[in-house]
Amino acid sequence: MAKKIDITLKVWRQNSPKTKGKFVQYTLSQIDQDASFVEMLDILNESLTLSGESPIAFESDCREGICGSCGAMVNGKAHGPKKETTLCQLHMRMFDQNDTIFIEPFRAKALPLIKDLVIDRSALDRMIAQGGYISVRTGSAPDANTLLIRKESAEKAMDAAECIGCGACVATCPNAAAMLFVSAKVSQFARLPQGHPEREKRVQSMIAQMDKEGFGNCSNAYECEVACPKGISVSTINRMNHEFLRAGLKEA
Amino acid sequence: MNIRQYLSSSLGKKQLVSLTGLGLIVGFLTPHLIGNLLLLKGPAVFNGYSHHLHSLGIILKVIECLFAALFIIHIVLSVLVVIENRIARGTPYRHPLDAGKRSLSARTMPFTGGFIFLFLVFHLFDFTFVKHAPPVSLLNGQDMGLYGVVINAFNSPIRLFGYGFIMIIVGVHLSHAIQSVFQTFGLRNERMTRWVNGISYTVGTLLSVGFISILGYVCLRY
Repeated sequence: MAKKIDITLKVWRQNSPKTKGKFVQYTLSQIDQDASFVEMLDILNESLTLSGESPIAFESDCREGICGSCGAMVNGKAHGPKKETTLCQLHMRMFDQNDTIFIEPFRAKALPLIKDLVIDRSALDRMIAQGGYISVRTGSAPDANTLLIRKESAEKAMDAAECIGCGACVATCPNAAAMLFVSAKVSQFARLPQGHPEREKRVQSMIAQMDKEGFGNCSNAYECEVACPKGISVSTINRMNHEFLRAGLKEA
Repeated sequence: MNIRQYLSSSLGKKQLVSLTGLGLIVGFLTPHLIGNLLLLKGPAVFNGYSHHLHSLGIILKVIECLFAALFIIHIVLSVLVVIENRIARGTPYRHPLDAGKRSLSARTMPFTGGFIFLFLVFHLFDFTFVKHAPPVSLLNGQDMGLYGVVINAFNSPIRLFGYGFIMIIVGVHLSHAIQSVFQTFGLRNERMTRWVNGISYTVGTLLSVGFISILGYVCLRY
């Protein structure tokens, strides 16, 4: 039998972008430590609904850490205290009896709040639309092994491709910068021959869109790689900086 | 993308801040330390160095203007970036952020930078805009030129400790700055991270200790 714990939650409640928000305190007793963090929120929401209160709005979909829907700041840490974990894969075993847990939405001007813990992440999609893809001819699949790719490049590209677009990097960055998100896509394609035809245009367009959306600048604090549930490294930002310089020099 | 668009982008601005900062470390701070260390060789060598610099005339003025330009670009862009970053957050967090990777030097860059700027103004009035002649250059009744001015200035314990403190601040600023240059220009890949961080801390500490050693010399000798 798993242990059961009593906890106090301080959850950010805000009805709409325009209204003022505040932390509201809830006490929960006998929470199964095998419950995930979002299951714990489900339990709270059930009791809120039964008592006629409006449930806490939060996003979740796959609940197995791969879709990027869930996410919130838990005691100041994006997706909570466990490394390389999404909120849905965080379990209540990470907390102790009588803990007080602060739950706050991801905050960035470019990712505005919709309600409670739900934010509008479409700015991330608009950046992808500016070059986070490759153009290929349609028709039959290409022959296998026409493009030879080094094992190391394939692995590194795959590491960068792991990004699920949750926005934790933006949320945890002291400057609300989206560098890790953009750089993951840029370096994924910069490492593969399929990404090379649009290599320069991609980095320039995505960064132009990033600046237009109002994300912050990078000050090399490296907080983003700690928060990333997929463990994407800041070396992708290093590569993006290089790609941007390279594209600029090539044009000149 | 033209050069103006490039330099006004988030990445371009950072590269310009990095480049001007690097220019100041390599072109200004390091030669300045080496020159100042001549103080340890006694008044003749140090004053000779000072006279030699001033005898450059117009060339010295051009170099000074270049350094001033580097400082201005570095400061103006940094302030701009800090303001943009504040705006980018929008609503501030009520519970403080706590990811835990950010070093003290990274956290305090705007403050250490601001301190250094204030110090710079003070420092110019202390040694550059003052006539290197009696009475401030008098040491035991003898005119010792700039050497005398420096020794007399550091006779005040407030100035001695103030300068020492600021030199530590400079070291803290540089230990984040140098590794940032590598990252900003895409020269800090995973394999090199440890080396780059090592170089950054070492150079920052060396420059800081170098300047403090001059204070130590004045303190022990006079």
